[in-house]
Amino acid sequence: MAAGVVSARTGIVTGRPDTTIIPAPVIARRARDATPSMDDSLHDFDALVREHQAGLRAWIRALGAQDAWVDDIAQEVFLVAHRRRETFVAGGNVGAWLRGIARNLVINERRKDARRTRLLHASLADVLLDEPVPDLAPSAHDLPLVVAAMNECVAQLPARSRELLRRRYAGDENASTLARALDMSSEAVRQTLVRVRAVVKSCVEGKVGEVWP
Amino acid sequence: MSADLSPYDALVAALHEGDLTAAQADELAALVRTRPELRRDLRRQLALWELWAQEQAPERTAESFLAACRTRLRAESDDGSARFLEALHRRQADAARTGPTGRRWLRGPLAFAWAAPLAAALVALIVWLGLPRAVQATTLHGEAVCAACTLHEPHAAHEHQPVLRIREGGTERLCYLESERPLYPEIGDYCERPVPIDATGGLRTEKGRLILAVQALTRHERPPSSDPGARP
Repeated sequence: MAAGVVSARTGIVTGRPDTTIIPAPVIARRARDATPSMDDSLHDFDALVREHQAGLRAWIRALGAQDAWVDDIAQEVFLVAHRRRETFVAGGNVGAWLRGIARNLVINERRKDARRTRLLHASLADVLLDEPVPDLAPSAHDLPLVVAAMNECVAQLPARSRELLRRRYAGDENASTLARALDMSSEAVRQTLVRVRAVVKSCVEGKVGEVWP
Repeated sequence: MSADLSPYDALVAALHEGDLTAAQADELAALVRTRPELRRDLRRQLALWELWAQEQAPERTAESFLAACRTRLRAESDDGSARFLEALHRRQADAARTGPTGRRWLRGPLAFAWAAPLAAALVALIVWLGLPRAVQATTLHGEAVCAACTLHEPHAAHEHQPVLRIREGGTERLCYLESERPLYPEIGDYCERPVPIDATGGLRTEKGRLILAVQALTRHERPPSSDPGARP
């Protein structure tokens, strides 16, 4: 990894000036070519978690986990991986292996009583789960590009939109709370968030390609 | 939601805001089931904004996440929670079998005289076993710590959930304390420092975690001994 800035929050390295535009096929190839040296991290729990936590949590959310339970499920994935580290085939793709474990855990979760599930509504979780584990998800090394792109895209937003996004995700404030705080109607907050999310997503994809399968 | 939003966008917005109803979820599921491009878009959105949430939320930093993983790894190391619970139940059963009451009263010439009341008691026991009842109470000895402040677990059952840290035989185990009533007044400031306590209640495992539904608590003024563990 070239010189960059390690995010104090997520541990993701961002700020590489030469990595703004990476075509999706390149990202996909990098994910496929995950190096055997990644095996070492299986025997170092901290290194394994540090390297894969951000992407894995995003992956679990995309499988249909409720946002409040993403971290809980991701922690279980790392515990399972640690227990089964001897079963990992040397030279394999650690990221794909972890995603496979995550998918199995989410499938098990889906079988639980609806009142106790950590997933989104059953019908939605079923659809999101109805996909094989892709090898082409961004690798731990490529995620920083996505985060850097997001930071750049958000920085281009008007100040009020940036503030809205920050408070929505940093403080987990809902539309009603934000509306009161920002002197807007609840509906206006919702619509602004919809627009802002669409703008940022489009901007990120413009910078790094379609990074998620 | 605004009329200029497509039904898909409106549903995804509700999902992001956490107020998607079951009917809306079904509608969204039906939409993305038949439209692979929408399904991909939904997954990308969920992943992208999850990454952003990790960047923004202070309690979701990489280090907080790692700390929580370490805590759970420690708690599950050696023999797992389930095995701990099993061993505890075995000890309780042994204690019951070899307790001071024994079985001597069943022997001897008066044994027949016990038969009728014993049969009645057995019937009562069978009925009692069939009824919903509390799990057998267990007393655990350790120190109460905070799931959030001490263990840095972002998703405890509730904010500042008390956790009993049990040290036994050189290993450490965590037992999450549950109660209908607030436990803070009984335990004291366990967010500030570990508080030695005895906790009695029904013990179970859930999602690999040991959970004690607290019935009674005793706070110790002095720290627990070096090898406290369970007291069946």
